[in-house]
Amino acid sequence: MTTSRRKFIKISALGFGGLAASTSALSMFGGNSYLDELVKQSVSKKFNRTATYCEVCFWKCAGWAHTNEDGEIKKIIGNENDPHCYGRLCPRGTGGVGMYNDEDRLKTPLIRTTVNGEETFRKASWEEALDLIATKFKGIKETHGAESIALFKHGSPGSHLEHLFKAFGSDTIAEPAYAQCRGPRETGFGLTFGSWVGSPEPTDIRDTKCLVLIGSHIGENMHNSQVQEMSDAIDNGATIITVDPRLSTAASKSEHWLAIKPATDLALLLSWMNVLIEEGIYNKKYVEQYASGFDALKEHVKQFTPEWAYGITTIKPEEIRKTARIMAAAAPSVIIHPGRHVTWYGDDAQRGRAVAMLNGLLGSWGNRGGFYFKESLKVPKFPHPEYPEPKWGWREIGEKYPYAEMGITTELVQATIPSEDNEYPIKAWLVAGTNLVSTLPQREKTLKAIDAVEFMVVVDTMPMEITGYADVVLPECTYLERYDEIRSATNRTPSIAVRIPVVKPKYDSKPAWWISKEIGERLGLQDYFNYNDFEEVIEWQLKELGTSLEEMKKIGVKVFDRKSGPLFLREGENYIFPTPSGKIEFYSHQLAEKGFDPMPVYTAHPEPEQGFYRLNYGRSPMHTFSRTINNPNLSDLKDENMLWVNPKVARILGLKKDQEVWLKNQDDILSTFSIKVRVTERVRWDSVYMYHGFGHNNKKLTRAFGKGASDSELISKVAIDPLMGGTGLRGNFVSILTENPYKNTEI
Amino acid sequence: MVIDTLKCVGCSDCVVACQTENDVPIGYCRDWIVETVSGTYPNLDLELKSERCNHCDNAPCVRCCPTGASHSLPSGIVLVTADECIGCGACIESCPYDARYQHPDGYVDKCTFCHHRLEKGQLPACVSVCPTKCMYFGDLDNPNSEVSQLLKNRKYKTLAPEAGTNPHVFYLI
Repeated sequence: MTTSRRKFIKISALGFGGLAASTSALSMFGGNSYLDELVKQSVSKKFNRTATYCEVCFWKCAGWAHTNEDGEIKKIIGNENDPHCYGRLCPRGTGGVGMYNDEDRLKTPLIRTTVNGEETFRKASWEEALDLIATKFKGIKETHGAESIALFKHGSPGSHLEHLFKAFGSDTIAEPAYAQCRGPRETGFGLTFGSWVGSPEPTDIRDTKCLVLIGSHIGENMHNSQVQEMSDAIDNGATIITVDPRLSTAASKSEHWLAIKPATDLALLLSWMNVLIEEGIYNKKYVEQYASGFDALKEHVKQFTPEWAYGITTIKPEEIRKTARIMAAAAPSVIIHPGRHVTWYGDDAQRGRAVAMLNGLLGSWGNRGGFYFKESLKVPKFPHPEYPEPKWGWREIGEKYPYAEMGITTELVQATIPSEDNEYPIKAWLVAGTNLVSTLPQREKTLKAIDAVEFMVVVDTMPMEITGYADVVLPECTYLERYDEIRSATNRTPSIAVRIPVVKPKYDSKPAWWISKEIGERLGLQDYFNYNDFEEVIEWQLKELGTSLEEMKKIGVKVFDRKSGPLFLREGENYIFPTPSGKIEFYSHQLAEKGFDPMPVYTAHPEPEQGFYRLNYGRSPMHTFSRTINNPNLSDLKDENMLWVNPKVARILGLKKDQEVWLKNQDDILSTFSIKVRVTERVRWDSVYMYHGFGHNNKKLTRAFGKGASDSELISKVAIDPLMGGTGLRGNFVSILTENPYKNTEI
Repeated sequence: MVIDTLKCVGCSDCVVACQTENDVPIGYCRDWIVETVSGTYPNLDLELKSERCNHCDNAPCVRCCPTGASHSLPSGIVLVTADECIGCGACIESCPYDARYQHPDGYVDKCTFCHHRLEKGQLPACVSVCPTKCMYFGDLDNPNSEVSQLLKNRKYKTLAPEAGTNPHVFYLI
């Protein structure tokens, strides 16, 4: 290969900052003429930056997309004024441009058709695809009511389609972010403090003296501002205590890693409360002033001694006592982190409550280094007529779970499967930005429901597995190609961020706001979409907020003053908690009235039989679930997951590093693909671990197809949370097969 | 450059930031993450760190380069002048840190500490983006610089000291 000098200059002439280099700076490194030339070239290049906020995950960090003279996106960097990222994006945000560049993207609308008896997709025009959707939606509304059309959503496209659905008369809406993720902790904290934790969590990590993580792996989940603040906390000498059966990254940064036996966290939490109360080291002043039901709690946790917990959790009593004392010494500047993905064992809302109660005993809610009182700015709604009142919706479908405060995806799936006693039959789905096949447990059930729907539309940027089941596929453009709603962030101070199109939509893709408007107009709902371009909506809203699109294009993020009062409780402040009693509720009368345990109780969960290992899963810092695995920049960092196996297990099974194995779960479900073994001390001998999101089986995802195994396809057993309908996913067990189970079958 | 292993979470943001900043082709990298686990469960240590060219004082790559393409600047930064590189790969073999790779365009490429950014008073891309702020960059000749202070006050190590290269990337431990 010959070196093309011309090309090299082109490749290396970088420096997108757009700042002029002074002549003195040019000689800073010794007046190398070659370097001088490069710098001159980079200075002469003009780069533009456009305000955006990231859509690679739900943290939605604000940043600047930098484009060169040819209008190509070269890099994306964080916005320094953004409280979500403080100017530093995570690897996914930095690699967000891969989402735009991915050549496997959905390129045109597709309509399912039958050719020679085989079902396939054909390319369609937007006109045709949207007309078809409108006709089908109208027909289904006439026969079954608008309520029977369900929306499954995630992220920014979801809000545009939610508006469409509500205008059409359907509130049959759900997102996996609730019942498959953070729902239980919201119930637990809601019942105790009267407030949801919300997102981002109002944790004052940067100023804490003690951070306690229960299975929460900050640093592997790149919840940006929290990762940054944890780093600040390390600098400030905070003590980190991590409870995790696996040596997570966070555990490795912890002074105390409690290597707990899986599924026993609640016993540890109860025992910590026992120590705080028995030793009289809880925050007495705080509890006296702000909490109710303390005497009942004291009586309740008397039995949960560290010795009792030792037999369950395998954590030594002295470790339990020591860590409880550390928390007490740090109180109220201590955070027992609520976690995020907390749908584990089916008693998760009660575990969330135990976490909340522990925070209550320590007095961390409303105190510096604990939880701050968050505040956000209410963005005025662009004027539209009132939404019609649906006869039923997500609430009725999930009514057997009294504390479900958002739609339960799995209940909507159940309501789609025809049965005689189903009062709320769902007939059609629109799925936006969520790969339901991979996101929900019990894949068989999801596929059964998909089989039953009369009509299904998928809106996505990528050919995810779910798109393969659609009747109509609509290619959404990526976040770098569209306007979206104003991001109003809940933080220490309220702030807003805007997303301005950096480039024109690639291929024949369109923004979700446009898709919603076009469908809406075809359904006679034009009054709800009284604008030509979403830019008009933002412009109007920004004006109402006292700024302008022009200003926001220049600054990207605007931070406002707090209006709700101080971040923390004032000394002795007479604060009324938004609970029925106005106090932190250690004993919950409402739970007792509804027949639930008024205070959390530990129950043993099933354990793996011999030859089986608990399937644990978690986040890789370079990926967001299954949606980024095909991103060229991010798959370059990690293109497959591995099965983490303890060396003891590897010895018993004769497993070697990088050996390919297959997994079979307790219900005889086989992994579609093999996964390579990683022999590591970082996991216990009773469980295995893998990164979530891999093992894609859609061949159209050329980089992701068949890379690693899918944890979600092996999650066929769920433990439902009786309070809010969350699906506990961590009770599945796998055996490890070294022989290819498919060797005699064609797949 | 000083990197605090006690804060690094191994997220690889430095790797992507470098790739997008320096147009490093996908499939190649100038920096990377190394994970080291020691001990047995549950008495374990895990070290995560971002590695790259060490910009050595006594750089074997510079010594073995037949054309002078690999060279050290007075500031201590080691660079490759692609125009002069014949792609022989001697430097790749000589580097104890495996920090160099053959660019698909035929020359040898590696970390430059983002000299084009330094010239403009900006930090290297990896340092500027790191969400844990575990990377520090500055002048080691200035005793008051942040990097000098960190090395004065914290325990640190360098990689492969036995190679005698006198590296300029330091890891706080």
